[in-house]
Amino acid sequence: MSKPRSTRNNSIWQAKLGQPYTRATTLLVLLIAFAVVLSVRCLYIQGFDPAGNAAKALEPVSLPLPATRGTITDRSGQVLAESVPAIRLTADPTIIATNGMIRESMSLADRLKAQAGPGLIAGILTTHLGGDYQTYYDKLSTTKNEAGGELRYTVLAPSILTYSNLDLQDKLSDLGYVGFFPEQAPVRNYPNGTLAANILGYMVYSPELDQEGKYPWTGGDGLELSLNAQLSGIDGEEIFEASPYGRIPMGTSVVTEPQEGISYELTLDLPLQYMQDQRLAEAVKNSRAKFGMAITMTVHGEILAISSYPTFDPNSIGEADSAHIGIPAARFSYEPGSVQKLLTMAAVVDKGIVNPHSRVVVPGKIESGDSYINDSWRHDTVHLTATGILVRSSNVGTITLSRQLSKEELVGYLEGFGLGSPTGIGLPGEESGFLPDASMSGQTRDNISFGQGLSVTALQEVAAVATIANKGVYVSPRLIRSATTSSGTPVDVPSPTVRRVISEEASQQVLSMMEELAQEHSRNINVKGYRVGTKSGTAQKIDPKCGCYRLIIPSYIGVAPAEDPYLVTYVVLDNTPGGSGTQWAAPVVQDILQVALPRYGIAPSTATPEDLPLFW
Amino acid sequence: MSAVEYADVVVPHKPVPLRAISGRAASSRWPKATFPIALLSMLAVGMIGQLLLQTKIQEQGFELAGLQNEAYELSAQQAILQAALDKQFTPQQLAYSASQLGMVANPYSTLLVLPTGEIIGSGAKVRGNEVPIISKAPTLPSNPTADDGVRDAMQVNPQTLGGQP
Repeated sequence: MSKPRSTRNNSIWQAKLGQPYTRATTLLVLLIAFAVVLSVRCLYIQGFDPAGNAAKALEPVSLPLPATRGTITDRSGQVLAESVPAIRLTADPTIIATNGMIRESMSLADRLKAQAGPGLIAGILTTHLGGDYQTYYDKLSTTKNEAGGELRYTVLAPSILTYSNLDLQDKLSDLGYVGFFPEQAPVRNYPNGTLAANILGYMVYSPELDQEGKYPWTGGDGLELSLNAQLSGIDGEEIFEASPYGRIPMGTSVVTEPQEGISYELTLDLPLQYMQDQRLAEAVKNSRAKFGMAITMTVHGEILAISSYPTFDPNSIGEADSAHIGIPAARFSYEPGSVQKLLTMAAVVDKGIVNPHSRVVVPGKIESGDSYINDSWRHDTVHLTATGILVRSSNVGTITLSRQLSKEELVGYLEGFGLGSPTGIGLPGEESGFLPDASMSGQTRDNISFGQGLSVTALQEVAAVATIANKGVYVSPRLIRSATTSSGTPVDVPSPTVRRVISEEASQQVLSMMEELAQEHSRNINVKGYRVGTKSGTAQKIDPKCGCYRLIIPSYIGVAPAEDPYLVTYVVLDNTPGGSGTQWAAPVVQDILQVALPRYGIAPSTATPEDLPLFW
Repeated sequence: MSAVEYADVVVPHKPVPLRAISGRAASSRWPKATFPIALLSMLAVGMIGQLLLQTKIQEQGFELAGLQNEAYELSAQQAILQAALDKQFTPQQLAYSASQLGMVANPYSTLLVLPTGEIIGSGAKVRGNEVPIISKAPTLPSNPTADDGVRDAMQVNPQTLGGQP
């Protein structure tokens, strides 16, 4: 009986393999085949689309290196706004529901563990972060969104201090749960809370996607908005070669360092800002005004304090009343009332039409258009000096003087004082106000001479009066004192606009008239140790409920020391139910100047002011 | 074939006994297991070497990541401590602290003019109500803010900050 064929063949093959030559040959053939395969593969990789294959294999990874947002400080370097690193803790409730496992493959123990997850995690979050246990629990256990789809993203804590996050992450890891994702979410810290909040602004997430498909963190208002590009800097990135197993040692790594944001030093003086804020808040409450504004600046245009009340805390912008957010000093335009008479008087004095002693016959009323304008105090014809017109705030007298100017001349002066156009202070949304042009009617000309028929912002008005105090030279108000890069290299900042509007002599004469007025108001404004020059304003405002003038905008402006002015303080209250600028705003100006003048080393006044006659 | 023809053949007196020898031994001087052992040894050495290298790289990678993380955490902590320090310098905090120490504002400044030695102004005692702006005992903000968060982070333990949009 013969063996089966296969068995015989196997035997032959085994016999051949048993031969050393055959084994060596077989091994050689296998090695050659392996080498051929490798060669072919190499040829394919290197010969056909080598760049593409290299790119696939290397998988260059880009790691963003975010730039640090610049800091904003006051004139003495005190921090107003700074960025603090923080983590936003997010979670994927769908992952948490199964603790990252496939539901079908979960054992009973896995299911029980996953079910207990939200409760245990919520407990840890409550212990570490504070807050409400139930809120955390609901976020963790809600796996459906409003549309009924899977909920894959929820924010558990918007901002956690970075170094505290380590401990929290350890605790969560110890539990053996997955589904948490910390995200870099730096917070903008405003250590002083509400101080200068209107100027600084706040931070928000932009409603528009950036190139990376994210909603960038950006300035929402104030300087944070207008200087956003400079403050933000430019993010850097690290590009390195990586395989699916991670970074390739000795692989190429290209680091583009971030360009840190520019830091700004403002002209603001924070302690003065604090005191001014306190005083303004008290005045607004006492006068039952809708809101108030106060600005203190040097006559050379440096804003030292700029307050508004009510205001908001940029640290918790989400809780702020939207009506309190904004920059009233730059955006709220109003009829300035009698403070405007200073500018009219400066124009007629500069033109040589009058001087403080000039005699003017002031009737009880004056015809303007198809109606008559009178003064707030009833009188028959009186003989007032130019100083008397200003001190008694005579509308009729001011109109009488302003008619000595052509409309072009009047508008030219007012434009020179900065009315009708933004000051260029660098705040977003700054209003121009309204200044009629030279084609205005005679009635309009009469009105604007005493502060009606035109509108200004508080910044425009204080800068205009500062011109009188600054020897007749207008210097546009500014908030930015200097700027530097993160390495300390100075960065150019905008220069103020400087122009002469009235002569130095005219400036001195108007100042002396303002000082006479301050003495008349000494019961309401008395800055101990210092001579001051002032002017009140009590503008009427239309009440939309009746369409009639029955609301009041009291205001008051003071310059000090009158013999050599350095500071100007302007206070405006909106919508007081009654009263006047002298009643409500003058004491505020007094108190601010009382602390501000010694603060800047201004020597107390020693000379006695000239006594100017009001009547003749 | 005849017997004479075989007579020339030399026959040893004691013939060498025949023995079986292996074919491999006959064809090679080395044992047949040497080659695969050498191959396996080389492979093992290579793998161990790669393992050691990989382990070292990973170890250094972990160390690098740890140091980078530590550096980041330290810089973050520095920023947070700086924020807490900034809080201590705020006018509200200083006014509050000064008030707690019984200090009051004195608006009556006196200046000494150098080099003449002239004295301008006259100092005066104050009772504390001369400057209404700061005559009232200041209070710290009661509403939670970012600075509260920073302060509390240093003193108590809340780890949340405000200012998040």
